[in-house]
Amino acid sequence: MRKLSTAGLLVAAATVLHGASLGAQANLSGQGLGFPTGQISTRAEGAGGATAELDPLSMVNPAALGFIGATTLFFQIEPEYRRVTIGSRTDNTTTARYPLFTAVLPVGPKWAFSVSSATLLDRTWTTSVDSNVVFGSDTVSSTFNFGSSGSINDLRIGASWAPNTYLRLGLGGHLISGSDRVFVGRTFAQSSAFGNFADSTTLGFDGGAVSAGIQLVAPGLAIASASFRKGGNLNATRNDTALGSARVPDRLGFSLAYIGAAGSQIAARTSLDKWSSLNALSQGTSQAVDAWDTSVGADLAGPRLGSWPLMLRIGGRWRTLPYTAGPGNDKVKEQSFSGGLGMMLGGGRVLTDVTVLHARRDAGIGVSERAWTLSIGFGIRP
Amino acid sequence: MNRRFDFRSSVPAISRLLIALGLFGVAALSACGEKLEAGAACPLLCPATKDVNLKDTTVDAVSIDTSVAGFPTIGEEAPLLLAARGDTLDTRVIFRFDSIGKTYPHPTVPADTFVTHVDSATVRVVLDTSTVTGVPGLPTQPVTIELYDVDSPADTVAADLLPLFTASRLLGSKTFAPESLAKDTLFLPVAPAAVLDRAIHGTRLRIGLRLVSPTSTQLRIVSSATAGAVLRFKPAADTAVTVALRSMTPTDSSLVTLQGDLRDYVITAKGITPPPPNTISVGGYPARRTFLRFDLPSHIVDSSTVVRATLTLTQYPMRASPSALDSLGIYPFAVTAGTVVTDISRLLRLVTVNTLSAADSLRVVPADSGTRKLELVNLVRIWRNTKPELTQRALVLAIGEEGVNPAIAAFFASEAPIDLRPRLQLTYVPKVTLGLP
Repeated sequence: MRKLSTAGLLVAAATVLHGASLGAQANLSGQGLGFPTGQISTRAEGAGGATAELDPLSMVNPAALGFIGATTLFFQIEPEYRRVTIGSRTDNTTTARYPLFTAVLPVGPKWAFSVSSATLLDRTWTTSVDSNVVFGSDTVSSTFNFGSSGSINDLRIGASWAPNTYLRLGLGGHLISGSDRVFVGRTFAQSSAFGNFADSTTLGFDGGAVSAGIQLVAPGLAIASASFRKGGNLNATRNDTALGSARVPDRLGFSLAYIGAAGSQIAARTSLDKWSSLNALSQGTSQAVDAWDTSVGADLAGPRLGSWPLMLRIGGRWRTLPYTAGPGNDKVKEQSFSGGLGMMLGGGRVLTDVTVLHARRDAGIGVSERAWTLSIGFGIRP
Repeated sequence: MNRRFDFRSSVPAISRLLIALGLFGVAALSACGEKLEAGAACPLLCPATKDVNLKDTTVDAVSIDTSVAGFPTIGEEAPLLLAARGDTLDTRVIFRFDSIGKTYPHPTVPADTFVTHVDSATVRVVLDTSTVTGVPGLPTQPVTIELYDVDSPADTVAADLLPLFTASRLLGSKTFAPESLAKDTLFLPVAPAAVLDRAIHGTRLRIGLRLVSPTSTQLRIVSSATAGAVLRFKPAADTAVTVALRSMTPTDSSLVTLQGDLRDYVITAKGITPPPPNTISVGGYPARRTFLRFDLPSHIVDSSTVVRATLTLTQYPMRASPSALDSLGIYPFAVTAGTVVTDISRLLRLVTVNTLSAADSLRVVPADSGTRKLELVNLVRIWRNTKPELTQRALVLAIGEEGVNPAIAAFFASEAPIDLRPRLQLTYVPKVTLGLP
């Protein structure tokens, strides 16, 4: 066998135009290691996330576990319909998420324990780019597919203690784990003459963190909350190969809630996530940046349905997403508004929360993203 | 605390709303198992990468290329080609009636009656009148079919049988108008005396058919595998006897299958001028098949993903081919045998020509010349998943109408000057290393 000629030449030249970094994708929200779902429950999302520090179902402040009242199993589903616009072109996509599961067990009047799992960063997306590939004198239409399916999850074991009416304290231990199947492929229109290409690999993540929270309660008036997560190592592997190590992002959050109206909360919250600690795992152009997440919202007791009030929620949220986008590494800003309702059914045994959220994401690079998210949460109190 | 369900009248409506929301959620989830974007934001959000690149290489990868004639194997022709293609091809069809009984059952006589008289005798043949792409149809001019006595000690050797097609051995002939051929069943007259002689002496009758036509033409006769020829004669005015094809030779009991095959077969009186020695070829009559074995770079075939494999052949013009100006379909077939089988003729015979299972096809006009390309990507990708010892990295080229279309196409072989040799162009994606974003 003798090699007559070798060329990366025309083929490569034709395809590189549409080649795709496996670290990038054609949307703003899923850059880098993924989209932060926020680790907050449907009910807190309904209030823009402002009540997350008070919410025992959200995985934000372990001190809030004491508010649960009764043993509760809770999970939520969260499909997002997203539209990316660049100039006159738009792409639509739908992403299914199962961002939160939690089980909270109160023990006596002062203690509560929980096991929770929430998505820290969701990296599930597929991008398809149609292009023509030139093989010597032949040109064939082709579709280049690349994407990722997976997430980095946060499993927390939490405990809260309320020594008195005015103070609640909480601690959490976090196990960070995840798997991410990244794939790339090219399909050709002329299947008899061209063979499709596909390749994939699975990335693994493991790490740990601890968190703590405190709540100062002025009964019938307000609750001030603060929480802190201290990240440990976060390791990335591919099969048996270590790819790198970073730190789980630290997070510091505060909120102030007015609880003067019976059964209602009006709150403001802000938090700082130190996403930049993930940069040791960034190999592409997109970089992680520290990001503020600020929200205001209300969770109001509405008309009664049966023995329980119908909860009405509204909120707004402003935050920066963890990863930059575009060639200039511009920060992606997200502004979202949400509304929702919640109710207790089955004599208080079934919690049902529904939130609709609309988000606008922009990095000032000519690409914008609009997303509608439907968050549905179900809780059972056995 | 009261744990009873305690809905008021307004609650069922809310329940229905929740059920609807739940169903909506389920529907939403079921609709979003996959996420697909058209990538409008690329390349802005999808910077160019070096991770995925197509590479292209052309290799002189043919390690063995050779052509072997003889397909279909004698006796296995289906149908039987009776050709009078002028200077390009002349074939004869042989029928063997090796067992004509001395007696026959007469309806009015209790015992069998000896054949002492033959009123008339015919051979009934059925034509294959189906339309086959690239194959000449029924004659458009009158044709004559001549029947000769070709009984000879020689078994199947054309050189021994062809001299028997002489006037002294003519058993009968019949001319057919083109429209009469469309009825597809022909009755060919046979000299009654010849049949009577075989019946009386208990000897065999072997008939050779020759097609005579002022123009280049051919007929396809359905073989014994489907509806073989039948000898029919009348030993009495009110009785007809039919005799089926039967071959009593070869006599070796281990060759029973061959004996059956040789009930009818084709010999070539004038064959097609063979192509030059530095060529490989397909088609013709008996048809040729080409065997190609490849020595492929393992770092490409085994470690990369081949997305295109193009076998480039340089066609040699076969202007003397029958139907030299009609297109001809050439198909590649995988060799599934391992390297333990080294006999190329055997490897070629192991291939069944089924165009539906072919990886690709190439249509050429035999009289043309120039570069021709055959796509083999599906074949090469199969080789990636097999060991060469178990599945040879080889293929067989054959025409789709083998044995029916006598056209032949030729290509320069690996002995030809370098620019004319077969070569394989491979486009592949090297192993992609997917990593962190």
